[in-house]
Amino acid sequence: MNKLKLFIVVVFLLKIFLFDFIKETDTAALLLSSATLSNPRLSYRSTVQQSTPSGTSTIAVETTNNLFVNDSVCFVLAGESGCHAGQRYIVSSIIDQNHFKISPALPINLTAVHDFVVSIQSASMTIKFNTVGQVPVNGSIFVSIPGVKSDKANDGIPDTSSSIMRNGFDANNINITNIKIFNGNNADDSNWTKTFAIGTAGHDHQINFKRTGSALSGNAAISIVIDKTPGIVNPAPIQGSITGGKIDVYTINVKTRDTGDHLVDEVDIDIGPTKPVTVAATVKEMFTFIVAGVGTETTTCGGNPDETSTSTSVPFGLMNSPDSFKNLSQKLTIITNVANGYFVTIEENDQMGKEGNPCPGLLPATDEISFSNNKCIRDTACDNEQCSETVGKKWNNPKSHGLGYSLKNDRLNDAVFESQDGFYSRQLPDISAGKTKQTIIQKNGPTDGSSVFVCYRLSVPVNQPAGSYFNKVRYTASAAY
Amino acid sequence: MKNQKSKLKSQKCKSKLKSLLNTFNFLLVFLTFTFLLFTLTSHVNAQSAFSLTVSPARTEIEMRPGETKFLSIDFYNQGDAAIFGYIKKSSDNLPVSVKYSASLWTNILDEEVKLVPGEKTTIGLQINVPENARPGGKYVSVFFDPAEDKYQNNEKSSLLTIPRLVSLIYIKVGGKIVEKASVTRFTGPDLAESGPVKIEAAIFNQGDYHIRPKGVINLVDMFGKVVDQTVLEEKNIFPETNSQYTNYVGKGWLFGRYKASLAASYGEKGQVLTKTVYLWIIPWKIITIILIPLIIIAFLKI
Repeated sequence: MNKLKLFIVVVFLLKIFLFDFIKETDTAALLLSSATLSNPRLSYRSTVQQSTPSGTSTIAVETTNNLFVNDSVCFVLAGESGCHAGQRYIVSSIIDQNHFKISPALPINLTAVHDFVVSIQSASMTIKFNTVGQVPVNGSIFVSIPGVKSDKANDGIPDTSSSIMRNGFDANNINITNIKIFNGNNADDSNWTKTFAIGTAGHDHQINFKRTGSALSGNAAISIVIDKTPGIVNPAPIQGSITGGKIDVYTINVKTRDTGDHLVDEVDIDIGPTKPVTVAATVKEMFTFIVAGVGTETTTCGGNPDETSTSTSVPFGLMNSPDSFKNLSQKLTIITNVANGYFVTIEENDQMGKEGNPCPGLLPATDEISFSNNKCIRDTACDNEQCSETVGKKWNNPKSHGLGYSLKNDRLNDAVFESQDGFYSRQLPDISAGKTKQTIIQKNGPTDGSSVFVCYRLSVPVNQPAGSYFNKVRYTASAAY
Repeated sequence: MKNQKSKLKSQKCKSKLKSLLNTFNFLLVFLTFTFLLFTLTSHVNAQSAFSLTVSPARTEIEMRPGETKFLSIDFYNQGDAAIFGYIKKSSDNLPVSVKYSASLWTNILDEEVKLVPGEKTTIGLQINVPENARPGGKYVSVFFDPAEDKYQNNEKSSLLTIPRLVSLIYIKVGGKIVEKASVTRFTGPDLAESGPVKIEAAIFNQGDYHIRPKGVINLVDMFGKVVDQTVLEEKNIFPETNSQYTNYVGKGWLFGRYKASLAASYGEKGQVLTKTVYLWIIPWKIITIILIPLIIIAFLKI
């Protein structure tokens, strides 16, 4: 009996340990809730790393991350709460990760560690949401905006801390007249008594809107706007951030409450100041696409072509050996400085028709060479397993007839698939049969020259009627969208 | 008066300098491309290669309803054979619905192209935004399409290969533009034996203009520590389209319950996408192999 009990306990524990896991938890904000900034840039803040005498233009800092040329900076000296003497400087160059230059030169001495430099990014903040339940008279809307957990949450200087939980927006000496509330498109300040509490070490910035007049109905579209002037100051990146300050997500909490300050409805709204996008405006984006023929002396896709191609033609020529492969190749090369990258697609207008006749449908009708009343060379089905325009399979049996293609990287590795251990073939996407063109080469960044061989393979059955068979293959090269 | 004259002179000098600088930059890039072309194509077949360059490859412009703008796109024949073709426009190849197509707004002023080797041509485009145009994004591609009749099929059985080179145009029509996106999918395995674990996400752009979300996926342990982070691929998501992301996160020895969380910003107003999924990472095979004998031994002893 003891053994049985122990067994049951062990199995139960194993079950909990291995199988009782929590599935996906949805923490997304409500769809109708949003918080936006007129200027979403993270501010900059860094300690001065070495004592710097007046008259110097080069400043040594802990990091220049998130600082850019033409940014306006100021210095905050130990014991001070704002920009020293209200003086601003322009960043004239970023020298390296720890040094930058300013204009004009420093008129004061800076002390390492105790003094710091900031670039202030301020913004108008707009918080929107729809009420669900009614907000009665003397009920309220209560908004918490993250602020730094110290007594420095209202000095107009960007804040930073060791974690998101301890950091936030600086109130920048805004007062209640800088905060407005709208119901739909209508100003609604007259229906509320507003109070604003600056954040402290114990709580975030708090805005309370107490309802006067009549109750606010449910499903009211409320907007709360903090004016651009003076604006709220965006935080600087979190200290030692893994993301390097790419994005820091803060959470604004909005509550609707009844007359006893009891919670009616609530929502958490995320807002994310970010590092700005820098654009290289002086360098034009160029894209070069080259299609070249390949001769029989070049090795491609595991072997040498049987004939020489040109940039505009893959000439299989006379197919006088049924049940045998004929291989030809072309070489595609891309050079581009487009930051997003590029792609090249392939498609065929139709399968290879005799004298260019159409080949209706995707598959032959009665035998492998008849499409309706026309004779065609079909797209190959490859060996034992069916290949398609999206799935490649081995094609080493010349009695599996038709046309197919494979890819092989010549320079760099941008081909989307390659032939290995034999010829690994796909069908060309037949646009007339409703297929979609397929990407054959792509990269998510610029390239100084990616080259890929496109290797075509053809095999015909003994009963293929004599004549010329052809179709058109299109390559489309484009910058990534 | 003297001050005004010298200011004007100074402005003219600055403008000339800027123009010279731009020309220098362009020449530098062009020469680099040409050099790369020679080195990369030197060992190909003696037959002439088709080699065409387009610049700019992408154009982003802002326009107001009722406004007309002229753009230019350059095409260079850097091959050693003449190129014949036409400049055409389309939005069909773009991942946007007809609603966001700027094809009807776009007039191509020079449609026919004949370029001898080394020649450059500048194609003019006129973009006309209607007075009642809706604010947001409109998109069109302009591309070189070879004249197929110039590329004769003289061979018996053959493929006629036709290259097409595209330049993209993104138009932002000014006004009240809605920026809205949502995470429509964020999943990971319920139970994984080890890292890295595959996290799949999908973001849907519900707004009027394309967005380019920037963000990270964090793997956080039971104690709130970020044990690994991967950066979300940056790519454009066009209006009313979905974009898929596949990321792998989690390195080294992992054991227990973890939280994978997505945080990404998009648009021009600091809006954020967040989503979380919980998962267990337990090397259960190893544990089972160790545990079963222990259980058996424990039973025998009891």
